Amino acid sequence: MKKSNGLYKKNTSFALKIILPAFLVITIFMYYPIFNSITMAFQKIYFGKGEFDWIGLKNFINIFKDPYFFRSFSWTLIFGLISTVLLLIVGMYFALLLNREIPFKNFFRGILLIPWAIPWFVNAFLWLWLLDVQYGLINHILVILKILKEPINWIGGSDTAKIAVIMAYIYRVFPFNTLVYLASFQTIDKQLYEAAEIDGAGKLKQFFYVTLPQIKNIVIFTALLNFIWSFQEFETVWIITKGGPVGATSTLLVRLYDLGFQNRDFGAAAANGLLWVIFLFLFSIIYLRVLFFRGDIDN
Amino acid sequence: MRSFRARKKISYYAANILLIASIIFIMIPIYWMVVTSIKTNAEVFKFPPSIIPLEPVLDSYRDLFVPENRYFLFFRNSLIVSVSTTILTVILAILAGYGLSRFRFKAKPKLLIMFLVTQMFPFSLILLTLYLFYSKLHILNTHFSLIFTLTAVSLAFSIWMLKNYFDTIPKELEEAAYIDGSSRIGSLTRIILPIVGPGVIATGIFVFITSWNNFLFAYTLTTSAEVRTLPPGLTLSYMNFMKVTWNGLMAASFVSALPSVIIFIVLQKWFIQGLAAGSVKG
Repeated sequence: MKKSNGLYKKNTSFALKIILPAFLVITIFMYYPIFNSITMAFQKIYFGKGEFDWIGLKNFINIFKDPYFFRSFSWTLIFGLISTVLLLIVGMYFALLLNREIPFKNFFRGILLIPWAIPWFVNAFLWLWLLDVQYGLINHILVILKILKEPINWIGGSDTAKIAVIMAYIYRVFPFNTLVYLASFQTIDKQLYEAAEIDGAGKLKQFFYVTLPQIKNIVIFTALLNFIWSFQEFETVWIITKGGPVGATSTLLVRLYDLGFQNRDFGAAAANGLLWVIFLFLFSIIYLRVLFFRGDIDN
Repeated sequence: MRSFRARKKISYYAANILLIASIIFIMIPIYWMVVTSIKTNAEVFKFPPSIIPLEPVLDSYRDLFVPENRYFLFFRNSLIVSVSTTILTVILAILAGYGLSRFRFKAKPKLLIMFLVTQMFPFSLILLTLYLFYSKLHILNTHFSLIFTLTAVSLAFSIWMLKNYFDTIPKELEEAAYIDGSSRIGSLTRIILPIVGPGVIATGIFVFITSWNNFLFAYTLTTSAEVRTLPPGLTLSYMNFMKVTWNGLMAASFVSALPSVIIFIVLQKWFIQGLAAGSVKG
C-alpha cells in the first residue's frame, strides 16, 4: 500500500494536466457567466447596442416591488418539494413491484423507462395535447368517469395549471428514481430478509424495517438530486403554460428568461438571478454535506 | 402452512396484476401520441375522440419530408450537435474523472466541489452572459457555440459519474501495467478503458440524451432555421399558429423520440450497470 501511495503522489502534475481541459470549459462557460452577472446586476443594459449605464442598486430595489418575484420564488420551491415527494412515492412504487421474481422482468423494466427516454420537449407537447380543453384525452376520461361534470381548461386556471405542470414533470422523471432504487435494492444483504421473515415480519414491515434503513442514504441523495434538478426545469413549463396564467407556474428559469429575453432587461434578470444564487449557495452546503457523508468527496 | 402458502400465492398474483395495470396506465400517453399521429385532420378534431383511429393514415409522417417543414434539417442539426457534444464531453470527463479518482493532491476536494456546484447554477442566468459573449465574438447562432455550451452543462455530472466508476477499479491492476513500462496514458487507454466500458457508455447515453433534449440553450442561442435543432425548431414551426396541427406535431414528436428511445433500449443493460456502479453508493 505504501508503494502505491508513492507512485500516485509523484504524478500530481500529470493529474492536473489531464483535469485542465475540463476545468477550463467549466470556468469559461459556467463560472465566468456567474461572475459577469454580478456586474450586469448593477447596470441598465441597452440590448443589441452593446451599451450600458451604471444604475447602482436600482435593479435590486425593483425586485422587491415586483409581485412576480415572490410568486415565482415560492412556486419554484413548492414545485421542487411536491415533485420530489411524488417522485419518491411513484418511483418506489414501481421499483417495489419490479423487484420480485416475475417473468419478463427486463421487458417490463424496459417499457417503464420509455417516459424517461422520450425527449423532454416531446413530453411537454404530448401533455399539452392530453390536456387540451376540447379534444384532450384527460378531460374526456375524467368526464366519462364522472369525476368532472364538464371539461376544464387546465392551463387557464392557476391551480389546475400547477397540477398539469407537476403531472407532466413527474411522468418524465419517475423512471430515473425507479432505476436508482432498483439498483440500490441489489446492495442489500438477502439474509436480512430471511431473518426478518423468521421473526414473522410481513412484507410491509420488511420494507420499513429492512429495506428503507438499508438504502436510506441513496433515497436521501436521490431526493436531493430531484430537488436540484427541479430548479433547472424549463421546457415543461415553457411549452405547456409559458409560466402562466399570470405567472402562476413561472419557475426560476422561466422568470429569468422572461425578464432577460422577453422584456430584454438583462440587468434586472441578472439581479433576480443573483438572489437565487445566494439562496442556492446556502442550499448547496446541505448538498455537499450529503456528498461528504456518502464519501464521494474525499482526499 | 397451506393457507400461508396460498396467501403468498394470491399476493404474488395480485402484485402482478397491479404491475400490469400500472404499466398500461403509464403507457396511455405514449399510445395517445402514436394514435394521434396516424389520424386524419378531421378525426383529430372529432368529439368524442376515437380511442382507436377509424381510418389510420400516414399523411403526417409523409409531411415530415416536405422541404418547407424542414423537419429533417432540424433532425440533422440535432444529430450533429448531440453527437459532437457527447464525444467532447466523454473525452474531457474520462480525463478529469481519472485524474480525480487516481491521484491525491491538495486541491482535489476543492476541485470536485467546484465542479459539482455548477449543477445548481440557474442556467437562465448563465445564458445572459453567454448570449452577449457569443454575439460579441460573432459565434451566436452556430453549432460550435451550442456544442461547447452543452458540453459545459453535462460535464460536471459526467466527471462525477466516471470518477465514482474509476474508484471501483482496483489500482493494482494498472500499477502492474505501469511497472511493466507502459506510460500513464498507455495504462489509461489499454487497461482501464476496457474495464470502465459500461461506465463510459452510461455517461455517453446521459450526455447524448441531455443534449438531444436541451431546449433552453438551443432555443435562445440559435436564431435561424439552418442552425436550429429539433426542440426549438418544432416549437417554432408547429406552435407558431393559433391552431396547432396535433397529428403533425405528434408525428414529428414520435420520430424525434426515436433516437434516444432506441439507444436506450439497445444499451439498457450497460446503462443500468453503469448507473448502479457510478451513482449508487451505499
